[in-house]
Amino acid sequence: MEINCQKEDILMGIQTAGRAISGKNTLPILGGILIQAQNNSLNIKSTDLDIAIECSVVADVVKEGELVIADGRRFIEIVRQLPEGNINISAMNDFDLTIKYGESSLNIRGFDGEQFPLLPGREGDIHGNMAAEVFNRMVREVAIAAASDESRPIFTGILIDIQGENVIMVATDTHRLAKAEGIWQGDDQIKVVVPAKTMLEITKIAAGEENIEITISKKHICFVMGNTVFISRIINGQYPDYEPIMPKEEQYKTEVSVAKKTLLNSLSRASLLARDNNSIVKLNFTQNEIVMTADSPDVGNIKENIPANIEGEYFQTAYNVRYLIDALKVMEGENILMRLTGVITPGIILPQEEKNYTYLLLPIRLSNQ
Amino acid sequence: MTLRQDMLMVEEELNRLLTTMQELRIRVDALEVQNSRLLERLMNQNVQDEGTENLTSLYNEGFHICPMHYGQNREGEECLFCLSFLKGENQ
Repeated sequence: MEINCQKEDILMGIQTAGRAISGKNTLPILGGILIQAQNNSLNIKSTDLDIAIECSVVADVVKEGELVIADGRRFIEIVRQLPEGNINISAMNDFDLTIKYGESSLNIRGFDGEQFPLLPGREGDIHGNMAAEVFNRMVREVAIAAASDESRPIFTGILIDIQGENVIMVATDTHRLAKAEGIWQGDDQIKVVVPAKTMLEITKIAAGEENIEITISKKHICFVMGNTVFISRIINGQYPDYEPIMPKEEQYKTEVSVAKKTLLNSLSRASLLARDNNSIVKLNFTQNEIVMTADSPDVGNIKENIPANIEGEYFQTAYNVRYLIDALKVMEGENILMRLTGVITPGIILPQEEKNYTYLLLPIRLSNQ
Repeated sequence: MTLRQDMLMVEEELNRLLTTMQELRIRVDALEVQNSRLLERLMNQNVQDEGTENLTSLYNEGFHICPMHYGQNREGEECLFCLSFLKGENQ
């Protein structure tokens, strides 16, 4: 195998594909990057067996072939440090690699390319497209509500629920639930759960792309963005039915309209004190304002009056301040709407201008409630 | 795909399954203890046809009552699915 390519091209490729390099030491070859020189392009692949990323870059292929660079992460570091311009990569023997740059060269250990696990194919029963911008917005909005506790795998994922021309993404850690809606062009009707961490990785690759092509099979989901293919396993199991937990229209008692930035700034200040007290922040919804209080027995307390338009019943309730901040940070628009059903029953938060995002949140039950 | 590749994949999958099995065993043990405690409590209470009341009190004592995590400790946090389940039971 021998190729000539520009440093910036191969660096882009190995940085993208390198995101799937395994951090575990179970199988040494998974810490490597597979490079395949063929048809005037260099295919770069890595996998940790949960996800696989394949990226193609332009290269002048002198001799076709493939091999695995043993230490993928180190290879990325090395290429990053090379001078700009053309580099020549060639196989020294069956396994090792020589990189020539200018008058200099270095050698890197490798494995036989044949040993690299076969990556899942791109085939699937369901196929469609999403605008990358919409996909990234939806993932960003819902991933905050996914659980990080691996003992409940289904809740560490994002449900992708395709219903005709609509795609709904849902995540919940059972204390809160985030739901975002977008447009889907393709085959209809399927529900799959994909790890939230994986979805967030995809948003990094999709940034700057226009379109994401998505193919879903029984075990895998495949995302194609420009010259990059991202394949992830699907989380097994039944995602709980989220519709029954959404409050019904007649249950809403109070509607609060408030400037997002003002509320977010107040909550951020409150969080500094609330973190010593189970992250509890109390919000008293009263005429034309929200009175926000939080206290830390050892540090101090805070009280802020936040202007708001409040319709319906007035009452005080308590929330986990982190959960509120998480939601406000990802919401678009200048104003938010809080629709509440009671002191200890769930309410929703949504952007006032957009109706394609809903964040369902349970208040904290205080000891006197 | 070569035989060696097959072997590597099987070995990795086996390792993964063994780890999962071990985690599940620990979890099952914990759940069994928890379940027997809960059952014992229910038996002691000698209550019949008071399902909803029992569920409510179990929830208030800090346990999940939703079908997905029934009997597991809520660790002080409220659960959307338990509350929805209770609401359904009450109706």
